[in-house]
Amino acid sequence: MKNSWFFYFLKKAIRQRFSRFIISAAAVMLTVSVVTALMTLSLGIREKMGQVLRQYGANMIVTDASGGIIDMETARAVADVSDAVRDRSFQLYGTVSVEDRQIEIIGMEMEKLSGYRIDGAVPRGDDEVLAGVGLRDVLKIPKGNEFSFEEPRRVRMRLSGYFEKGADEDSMLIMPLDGLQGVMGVEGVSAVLLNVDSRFLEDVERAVVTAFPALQVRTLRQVAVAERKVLAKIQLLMIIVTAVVLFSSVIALGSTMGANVLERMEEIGLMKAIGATPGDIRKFFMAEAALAGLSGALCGYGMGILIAELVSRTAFHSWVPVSFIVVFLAITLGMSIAVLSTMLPVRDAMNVIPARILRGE
Amino acid sequence: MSIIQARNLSKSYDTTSALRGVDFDVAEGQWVSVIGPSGSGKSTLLNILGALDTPTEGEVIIDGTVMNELGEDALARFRRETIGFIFQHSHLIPYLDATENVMIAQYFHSIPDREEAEEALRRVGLGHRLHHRPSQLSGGEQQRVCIARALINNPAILLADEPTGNLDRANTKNVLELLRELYRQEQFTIILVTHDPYVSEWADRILSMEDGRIIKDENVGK
Repeated sequence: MKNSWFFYFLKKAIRQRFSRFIISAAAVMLTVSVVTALMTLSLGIREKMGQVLRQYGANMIVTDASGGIIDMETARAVADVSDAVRDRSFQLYGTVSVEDRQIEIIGMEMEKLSGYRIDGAVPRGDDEVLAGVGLRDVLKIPKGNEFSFEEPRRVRMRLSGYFEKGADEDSMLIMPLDGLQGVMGVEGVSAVLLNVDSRFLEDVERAVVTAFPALQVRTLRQVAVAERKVLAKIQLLMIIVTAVVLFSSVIALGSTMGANVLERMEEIGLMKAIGATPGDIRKFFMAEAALAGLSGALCGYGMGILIAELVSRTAFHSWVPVSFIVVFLAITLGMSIAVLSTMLPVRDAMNVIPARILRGE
Repeated sequence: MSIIQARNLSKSYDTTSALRGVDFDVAEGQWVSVIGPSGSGKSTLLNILGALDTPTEGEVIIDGTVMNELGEDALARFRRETIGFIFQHSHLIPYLDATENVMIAQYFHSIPDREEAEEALRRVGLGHRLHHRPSQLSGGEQQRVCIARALINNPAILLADEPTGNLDRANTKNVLELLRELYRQEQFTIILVTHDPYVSEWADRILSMEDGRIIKDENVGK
């Protein structure tokens, strides 16, 4: 019964100063939206960055310790060794003879052909091949034309195009894995290339070596270290921005709430005079602040998710996953900053002797 | 029987002394006017009696309770149980209507009762202004709302600080007549501070103050 009257008087107080209530809620909304956006991006960024960094290739290469071929069953088992493996590809290395020239060739899954600039078309059949730009002047074969591998066995091939990667591969040939396996008469691969979550690089290396003693593992630590550094810097930046936003928001809210309390000093003095305890008065102000915090937090959460999705669409061309824990964090944060920034001015107001307030001092 | 006992009350603000060793008793059911020029210490005395301010020295005993010994929450409880206030500036809450301004005093005392609050307003002649906000009421009407609010919880003591200070003579007379009627019906004790001799003459007893001291204590015997 008493509580319903509490909310009755609270509603009246808020309605009287609705514009100030809206300003307080807007200040909370601004903070919560920035923090929500940063938190959502921060939680989703590892995956997004992982996707981006994966395009730069593998950070772990598994080969046969004696330089031989890894059979397909083992190769697939290596790729499934840990959940930390984000992507894998198989490669077969060999040498073919073209017009009496020995040229190195890579067999790989064509859908994993990323990071290559291609002039022509990606090979679609087992009799098509791509040549590195370094071979253009050597082979002098126009793209689309046919030519022959003389060794290890004689086969007619069609040059589907030239590629450029800016690496050693530019003087090699690339063709579908199945096709090269046919040309070379082997059933396996030379290497399993893994892209592993950089946090678990050592763990995966240990798992592979333990499970497959005949294989050897090389990690491309530069890629892994670069990934870790980029993620750490991005997260540090987000923490700094969040701290700055929080700090400025508490200052802004504190002055809004301070002005609100100052405007209502007469009311506070009167409440004391008619028998309100400091706790009774604090309850009204804190409830008002908590309500402003809650409404600001809910709006801020919605806006923050929108910002995070916009940023993710722009930077990563995909949606960022929304974590529900962020809703609770946003509400807690919004209500906490609103209540905290009201506490100080209300505490000061409680210390003023009511007679002085009522005299207008 | 004394309901109020003031013992050697002194109050200093920095270098200024507002009260200098004030001593007096007030019997239960007495109407006491405290009169004096501006700065004589009469409002300070009233605020100390109502526990809205604290004395630098001395003590106030109300109905056997030593006020100096009470903490902040106990003082608040004491105010809402024992004392009703009327101020010169009506100090009504601007966003509440007349009835709700009375009900807020009920809220801090116990539980609001709209019918009781409306009845209190009818008794002070504001039956036609129940749902008017303070800004829609005249000065005299605002003071009547304050009287209703001050008396809604049946206090033993009514403290009034220049309650007619902002009113013209006709309204002053109306408010005082209303106070006298309620005083006679309910038998509470009144301490009324004023600088106006006309207002002070409505009391049973007049305390005259000057320079922080009581210089005259006379029973008018009405």
